[in-house]
Amino acid sequence: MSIPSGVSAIISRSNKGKRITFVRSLRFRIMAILILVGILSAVTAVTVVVQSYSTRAVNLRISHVQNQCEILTDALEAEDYVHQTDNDVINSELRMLSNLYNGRILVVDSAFKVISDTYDLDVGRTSVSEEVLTCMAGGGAQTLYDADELYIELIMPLDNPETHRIDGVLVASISTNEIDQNAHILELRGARAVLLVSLLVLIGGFFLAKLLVKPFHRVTKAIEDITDGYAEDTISVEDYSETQQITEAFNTMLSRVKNMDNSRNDFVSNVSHELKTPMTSMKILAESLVAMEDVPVEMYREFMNDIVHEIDRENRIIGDLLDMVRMDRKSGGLNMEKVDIGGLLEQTVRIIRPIADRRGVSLLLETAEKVEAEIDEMKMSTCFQNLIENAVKYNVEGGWVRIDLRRDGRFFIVSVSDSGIGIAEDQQDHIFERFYRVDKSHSTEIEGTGLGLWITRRAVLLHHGTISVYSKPGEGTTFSIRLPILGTGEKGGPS
Amino acid sequence: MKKKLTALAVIAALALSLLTGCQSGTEEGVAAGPVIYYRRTTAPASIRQPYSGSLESDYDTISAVLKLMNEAPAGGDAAPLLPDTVTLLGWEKQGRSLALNFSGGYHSLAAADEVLLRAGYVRTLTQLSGIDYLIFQVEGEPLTDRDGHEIGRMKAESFIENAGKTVNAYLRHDITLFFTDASGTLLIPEGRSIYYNSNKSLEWAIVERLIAGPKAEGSCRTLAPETEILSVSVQDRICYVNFSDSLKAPADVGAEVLLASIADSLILNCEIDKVQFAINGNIEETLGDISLNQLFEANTAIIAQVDPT
Repeated sequence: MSIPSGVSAIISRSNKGKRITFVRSLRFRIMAILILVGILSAVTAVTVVVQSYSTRAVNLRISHVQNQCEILTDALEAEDYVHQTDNDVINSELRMLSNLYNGRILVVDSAFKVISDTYDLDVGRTSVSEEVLTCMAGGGAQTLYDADELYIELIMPLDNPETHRIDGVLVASISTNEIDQNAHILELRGARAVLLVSLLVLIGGFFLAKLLVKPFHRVTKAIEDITDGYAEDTISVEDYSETQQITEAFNTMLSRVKNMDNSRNDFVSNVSHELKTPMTSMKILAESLVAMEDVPVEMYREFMNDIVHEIDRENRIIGDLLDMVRMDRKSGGLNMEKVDIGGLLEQTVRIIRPIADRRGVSLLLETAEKVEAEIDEMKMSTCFQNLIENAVKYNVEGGWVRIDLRRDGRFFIVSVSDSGIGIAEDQQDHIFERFYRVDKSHSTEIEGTGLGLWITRRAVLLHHGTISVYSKPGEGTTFSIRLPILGTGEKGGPS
Repeated sequence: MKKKLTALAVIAALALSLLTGCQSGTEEGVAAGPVIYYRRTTAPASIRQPYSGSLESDYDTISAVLKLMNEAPAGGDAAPLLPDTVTLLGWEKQGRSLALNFSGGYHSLAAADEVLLRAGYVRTLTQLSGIDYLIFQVEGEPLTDRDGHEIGRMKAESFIENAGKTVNAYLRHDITLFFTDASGTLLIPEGRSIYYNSNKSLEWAIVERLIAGPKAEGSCRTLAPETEILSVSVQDRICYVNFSDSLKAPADVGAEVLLASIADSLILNCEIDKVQFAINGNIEETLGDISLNQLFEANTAIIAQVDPT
């Protein structure tokens, strides 16, 4: 296969793709629906009209002939025609009626003999038709319409006015051929009309569909313009409420993306700032050491300790950043396993107790019942540690920290309460934001990166849990974490 | 989505076909071959059942058919034409007629039942090859109608059942028939508007009308009323009329006038120029003193000059 044909293969494939795409497009569907509906309606209308014409015409004819026959039977009875068939007046009336309606009239006497026939064919023959026999036996007048053989048949008894017996039967057969032919002509005309309508609908549908679909193309173009960078920040295609909805949703998404972009920029600048600060401190300490002459060893030791302190701080920040990055992924790849929460909390308390003792804060752990839950142990232990550490850090001398564990239906709740300095109400919304420190003036006294609560909240959300805070400045703070006991299938291996 | 579209398309197509009113005519089960007649138990009507036995008119076949007529097929509402109150005492074949003798209970039959019985037996038994007529007797006496006249020979054509159904098959034609005057020497034209079944030819209808006789006063028939037509056909503008040996002129009518009345009636009204007669298929016959072995053309000489009235 030489390259040119390969190229043509690619081109032809894309053409085929275009064809398939057209079939799946809204424009094609609108066109198809319009055409289908148009044709169907036209066909239905024509059929209904023709059908109703046929029915009405037949019914009209039946009623006319019935009327005439009733008059005729009265005359036949009055003139005692069954016994005197050479009545010219009656005979010409019979003939006239049958000519008028393109039919045939027979008169049958009570011995079932045909005594009169406008076709002049069956006089003298004996009728054994079911309708005649039934009528003669007193079955009354009947009207039949045979739509296949195209005739109406009326059977009427001739009552003798004196004896009140049935002297004979009048049988009128009327052809409905003419009605049928008319119906066919109507159908033909109707078919022509349907054809015309189909043509109109085809053309109209084609262009209408094109028109209707234009706004959607405009939406696409508007979004493309934004993508290419040509347009402003929002798009609006108001033609349909649907397109308006789409463009509004798009605008919302765009602003969120912009916000995320902005917050990312803020984040980067925050991170740089945070990382630089310890470095700056270290540099100052080192430079001042170097600058000084005859510095005593104790001073060296003191400055070195400070430098170590700053390095620890830097490590902590970097550690938190890593945690944060790990949390930032979509599902984070939770490593769920069954953990004894009480035991985990005990472990955490043990780690923090030295720090608490140094600050004179008492730690108390109360477990109402044993809870075994499916959690990512690493992440949640970080959470609990963070909360308890905060409770100790933001506490007063001689204060207390209490940790509760209890069960709540399908969930378990861990609350960390402290007698610390509390958090003002207007700041409670912000404490979970990245790098947020409650009071900037505290940042030098109480160590922290501002990332801890963000990491904690992120981990809780990954577990499909909730975290809430209740605090009163000057009295204390309580953080509560609620997690499901059974993990919700976010099982994963290493992310 | 593709599946839904195809389903929709199928439904639409079906709907269209239903709407355009597919004329699926209901075919009635008309038995095309020989049948046995019964009657319906619930209504005064005939029922036909197909018959596949012998169509000869020998003793055994006739007995078998009569027996079949008394045994209605199971299921459905068919019943024998002969009720329990009447028995068939005996039967006898007389030439081409079959005489049936019924018991006295026949007279007590209701009018509708009686006529159905008669029609059923006649129409069933005349299907056999050697039987053309049936004669009914009750206790040995010929059956009479209510006026006391003998009913006489009955043939299948004596009974009609569905006059109305074929109303569309009839055509109307204005014709001139030729009958004769009292002297039997001249032809008298009679204009008529006739209906005839399109299954039969116009020529046949004309000859039938001639046999039926004139309607105008003063005209006389040229053919005896029992004349039987065997066949009428047309080829190359020649009409071939074949009578049975019933062909006979009534009194006072010469053979020439008889033949001329038929020939003129046919040639004038139909697309033919000559007529060929035959008796029982044989053209070597003579009628009166005229040989049939010739082609007859229109004989206008003996048409009476009648003042148009």
